[in-house]
Amino acid sequence: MYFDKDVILFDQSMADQTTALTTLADALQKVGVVKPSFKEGILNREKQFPTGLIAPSMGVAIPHTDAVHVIKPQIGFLQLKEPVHFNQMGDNADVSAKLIFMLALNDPDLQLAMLQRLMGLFQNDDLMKKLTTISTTADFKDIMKQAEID
Amino acid sequence: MKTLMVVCGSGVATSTVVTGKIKNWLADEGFDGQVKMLQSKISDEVNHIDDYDAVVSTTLVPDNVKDKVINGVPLLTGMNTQAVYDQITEKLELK
Repeated sequence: MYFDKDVILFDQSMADQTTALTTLADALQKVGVVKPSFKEGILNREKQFPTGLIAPSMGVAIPHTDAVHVIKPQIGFLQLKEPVHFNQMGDNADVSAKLIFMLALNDPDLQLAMLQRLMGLFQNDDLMKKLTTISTTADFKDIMKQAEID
Repeated sequence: MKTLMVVCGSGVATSTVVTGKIKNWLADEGFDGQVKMLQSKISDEVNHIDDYDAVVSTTLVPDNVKDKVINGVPLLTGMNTQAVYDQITEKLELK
């Protein structure tokens, strides 16, 4: 259910963080899962509270914003050709993000298991490396299934 | 009963994961009866840090409360998680 709108982008060149965030937010809005206010929420939130994470194998980012901007839970995925700079949540450390998972969530209780599995995925070096090399939606969904996120 | 507040930027995503991890850890250690877990967003709690026995955050907090807040990001990345649990144990005086 989190990927059923196919907001899954591969091998993208993004000039900077803002371009990457805007691209994903626009794509989510286009398929009708977030409100027009979602993009602004994402950009503001990232400035105030960065969402980069230094996972064991690479840098990632999980941009998200308040539930009020979300219509239907969904996750947008962006695989970057060259890493984009983010800051790590918690300590602001520099993060070179290779993968971005944009989370459109509106119910923390229902989404807890998924979020825990997503963090588990970040710690799975093998699956993370695969995510940087795949180029089809089918392969992506297969990996997500292995990580029990769907 | 001690109170432990977990905060993130929005109060829905990473604080949820961290709350889940800490709950499991408390149960494993047999501390679950001693701690009441709460969850919120940092902007709502920044002036109430002293209302809780300990605060864990996955997001940046202002410098004036920095010393009172435990950084919960290791529970997301899985790296050096024990340091977070040690700080919680110490702050809440769990035994």
